[in-house]
Amino acid sequence: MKEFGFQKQKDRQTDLDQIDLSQIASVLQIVDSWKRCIGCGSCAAVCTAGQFSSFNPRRTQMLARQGCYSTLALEVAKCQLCGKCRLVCPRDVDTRKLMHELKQLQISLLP
Amino acid sequence: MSSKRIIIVGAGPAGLAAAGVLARLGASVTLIDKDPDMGGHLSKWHQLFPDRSSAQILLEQLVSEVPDEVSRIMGREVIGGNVRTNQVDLKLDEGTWITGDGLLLATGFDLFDAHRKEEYGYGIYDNVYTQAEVEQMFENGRIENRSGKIPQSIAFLHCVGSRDQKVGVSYCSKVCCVTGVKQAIEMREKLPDAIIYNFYMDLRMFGQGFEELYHDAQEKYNIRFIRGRISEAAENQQGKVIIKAEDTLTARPLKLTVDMLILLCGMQPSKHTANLADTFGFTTGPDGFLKPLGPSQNTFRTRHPHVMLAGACTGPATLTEAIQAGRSASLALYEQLFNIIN
Amino acid sequence: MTFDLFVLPFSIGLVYLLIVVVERFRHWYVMLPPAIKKELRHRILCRSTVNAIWEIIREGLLHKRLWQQNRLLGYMHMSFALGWFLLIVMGNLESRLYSQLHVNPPYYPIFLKFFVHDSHVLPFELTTIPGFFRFIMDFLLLFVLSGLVLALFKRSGSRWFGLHHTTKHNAVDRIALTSLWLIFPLRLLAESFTAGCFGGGGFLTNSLGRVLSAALPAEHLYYPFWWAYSFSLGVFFILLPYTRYMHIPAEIAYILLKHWGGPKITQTQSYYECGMQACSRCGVCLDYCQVACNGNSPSTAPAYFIRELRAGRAVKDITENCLLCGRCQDACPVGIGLVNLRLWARKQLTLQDRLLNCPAYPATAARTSVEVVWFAGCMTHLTPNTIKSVKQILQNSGIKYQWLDADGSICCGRPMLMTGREQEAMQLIESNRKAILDTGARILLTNCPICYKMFRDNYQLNIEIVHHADFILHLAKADKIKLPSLDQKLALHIPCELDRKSEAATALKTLVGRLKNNAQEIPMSELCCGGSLGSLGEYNSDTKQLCEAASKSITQDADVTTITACPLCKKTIDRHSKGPTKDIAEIVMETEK
Repeated sequence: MKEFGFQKQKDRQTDLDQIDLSQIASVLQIVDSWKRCIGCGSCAAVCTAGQFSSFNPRRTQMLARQGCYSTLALEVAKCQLCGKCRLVCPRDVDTRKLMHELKQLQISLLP
Repeated sequence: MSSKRIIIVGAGPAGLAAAGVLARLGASVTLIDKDPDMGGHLSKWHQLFPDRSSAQILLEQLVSEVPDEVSRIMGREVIGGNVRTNQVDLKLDEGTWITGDGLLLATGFDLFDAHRKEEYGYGIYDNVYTQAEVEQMFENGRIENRSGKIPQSIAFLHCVGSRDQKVGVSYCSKVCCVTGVKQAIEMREKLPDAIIYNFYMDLRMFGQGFEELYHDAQEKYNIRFIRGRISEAAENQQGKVIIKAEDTLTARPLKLTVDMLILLCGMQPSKHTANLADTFGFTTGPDGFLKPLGPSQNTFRTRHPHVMLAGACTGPATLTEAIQAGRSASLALYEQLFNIIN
Repeated sequence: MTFDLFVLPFSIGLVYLLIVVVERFRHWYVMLPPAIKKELRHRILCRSTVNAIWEIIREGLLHKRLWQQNRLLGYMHMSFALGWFLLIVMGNLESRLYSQLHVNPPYYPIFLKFFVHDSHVLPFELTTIPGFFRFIMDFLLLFVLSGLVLALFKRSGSRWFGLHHTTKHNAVDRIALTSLWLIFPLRLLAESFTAGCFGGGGFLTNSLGRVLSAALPAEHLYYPFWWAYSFSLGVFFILLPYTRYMHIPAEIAYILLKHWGGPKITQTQSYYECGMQACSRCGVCLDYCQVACNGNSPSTAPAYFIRELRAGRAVKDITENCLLCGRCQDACPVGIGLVNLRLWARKQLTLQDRLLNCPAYPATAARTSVEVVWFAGCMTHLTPNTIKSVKQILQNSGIKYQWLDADGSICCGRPMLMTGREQEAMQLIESNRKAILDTGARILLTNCPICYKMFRDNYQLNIEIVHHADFILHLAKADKIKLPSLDQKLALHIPCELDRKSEAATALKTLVGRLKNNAQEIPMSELCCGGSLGSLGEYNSDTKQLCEAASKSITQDADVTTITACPLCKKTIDRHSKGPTKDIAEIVMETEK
């Protein structure tokens, strides 16, 4: 039979029933402006790291919000904390501080 | 019937609609506007959403409904005055005073000053425009950039000076979404071969026929919609605009060179509105617009029974809403002054 | 008689203090990297030692910098330090007159008046040697006491000193402070009572002794007062290493390290720890710290921040919400490297990121022979007016240049460094460094003071690094561009990252001075705009408050144009002030259009 390359994989769903968001809650408390993000992508548009790497601040913070820790750990390491994103966010999210806190969290999450 | 004198400040759609109603009801109406011509922003517009009807025809209708008896003081700005019980005195910039029994404010909005978003390059790069300038191009029938060339690629950017706390505007101006879609369609009709983009954060197609217009823009007019807010613009040697955004739906940064960047600027209280609020001590909301007594029932009343508000001086409004507000407010003012209730 | 039991509290305290201080000094020395130890040993026999001793006298005893800051405060500190020092020196010399021993026990000069009464000497006698010492010792005691009176005033109302804020104390501090303040009044009383009973003493103690002995039973009182005097000294010495008074020995060590350690000393653990201990908590920094003055976080001021550090507490908030503007450091009378100290504390709090892989630059253009490499900086791309103006300036002046970050760049690394992540910043430095040097340019031009500072201090490029304010001034001096003459009202905001004392900052001031058409003084602010990347504090609320205060300090009018030379300052000020904000390049080129 012809092999189509389909393989049964582990479920890729974000399972909000299973994920522990308590660590994210602590970051949300420190950077409460984070709650206001509407995902417009302004930060990702100007990102100095994002134009030369796969880093995307909007996607990274969303991974954090949804508790996708393993991907988050790899992504947030690429942020250079330059703070340019903070100058363009229409919702005044303190994006730089958020990334700083996520970096702190990420390192504690690493094996 | 004893004639009551009513002063209407602002001869845009709301003011014109109100002037027509009140004059036909028998009040003695004075219409004042800082511009020499009537119509406000409508007079500078080409076509209207969602049905693409002519702005000029609508304006002619509104003007024709204002009887000749209405006295018109054009090109004059109200710079001071007093609101007293049952009487209003206004001082004009030439120094004269006019007195009325009632006042209706329809001082409208200003478009957000695009210079304030320096990163978009308005006033710095040659080929960055606002939607108002584009309406003029449509009206003149010529779409060309500053060096006289016909553009082959055009990007509209939504939410300039709307929902942007960096410029102190947290509210949504609500009409720019559909304006951008309408203008993109008009562009397509004029320039069949151009590539036309709309960059947006959210598209709020709340009104009747708006969603259908959006639908058509995608399907019939081949407008490309990209969900991502432009955050940076540069200019190349040829005077083209290089824009940077994120295509949020593929989660990748995006760079694009266009012949024209059109900024869909939001509404802010007109300078005149802000001055009058200061002068008369009218309440303003956190957005700076005049704040009527109630959010649903008394949307045109102020704390003075004989002073009413109408149109975009109370917040972003569509043309339909402004005309409706002008008519409602004038009826309420009429009832008040002629003791219809009570 | 050369011994009495009451000398014990003092003697025990002194021995304990000496052991602790020697141990601390040894610890700081041992912790130094071998290369610096070598440097230190090498420099002991050089001019550095002379310079160090001069600085110890100038700052440790005379308090010159503090005098320049605040005369009353300077006098207060000087009266304590210099007065006490001279009391010890003179006391030792005086005790030589009466002692047959080659080496006196240390308590002997301190309590000399208890052991020696010598009532033949008249209180106002100046011509004999013992009489001269009597006079000078009383005079010095009076000198110290005058400082004490000022200190009491300062506690009750610091505004007398022109200070808006004064430091607050904890329990151990208060005990040490009380024992310190009691030392000299107790000495005065002990010596006076003794003089009242047995005669002797100088103009002060003799006179006071006579008055007191007339009213009080001096013969019963003098001995307890010697005990109390000794006890207060002992308590003070034992507590000294655990209070801010550790600054007395630490300042000496700090000055020595600074002079002996070479340029790399500022990055060592010993230097940080010693600097931390060298703070006398004089409180000068309190009025310079905008975050503290802002009211929401008084503990951010270095005096309190250092107190927490000394107590072994790394408090996240105050470590992170400092703007790193450096105003405190410029003002610090001890010359402590306060900015580096804060960064060092951040480094302790920050988990170093092992994963960062600095993205590689896209292949840089082949080496061309350009004179200037232009690195606008990432944030400058958000102020296209500045970019356009600088581009015009470069073109008009006919300079061959390469625009390195026309299509964007990676970060210079300074923002990363400011969060305490040194290793990650190094990766960014390496990548940028290569790209800059590959151009072969002689001058690196940048528009962002953050980049400017980073290139200058951390890149070791060995080419000229110029901010555009300096660049424009040079071009104007060489008649390559013409400066406009402006009628409009101007105000000047100096970006912190430009370094208030740097060539670029001076150039900016000169340049703005040349632009005006009238003789009106241009108001200038060296406050931080509040948007600093140095801070990880509350961006929204704090920045607004800080920025409004900073812009108010230069103008309140909507018709005044604020000039600055930093894209971040421009964005921040433009948002929170009434009038327009423009970059210096923009305003220079405005009339060209």
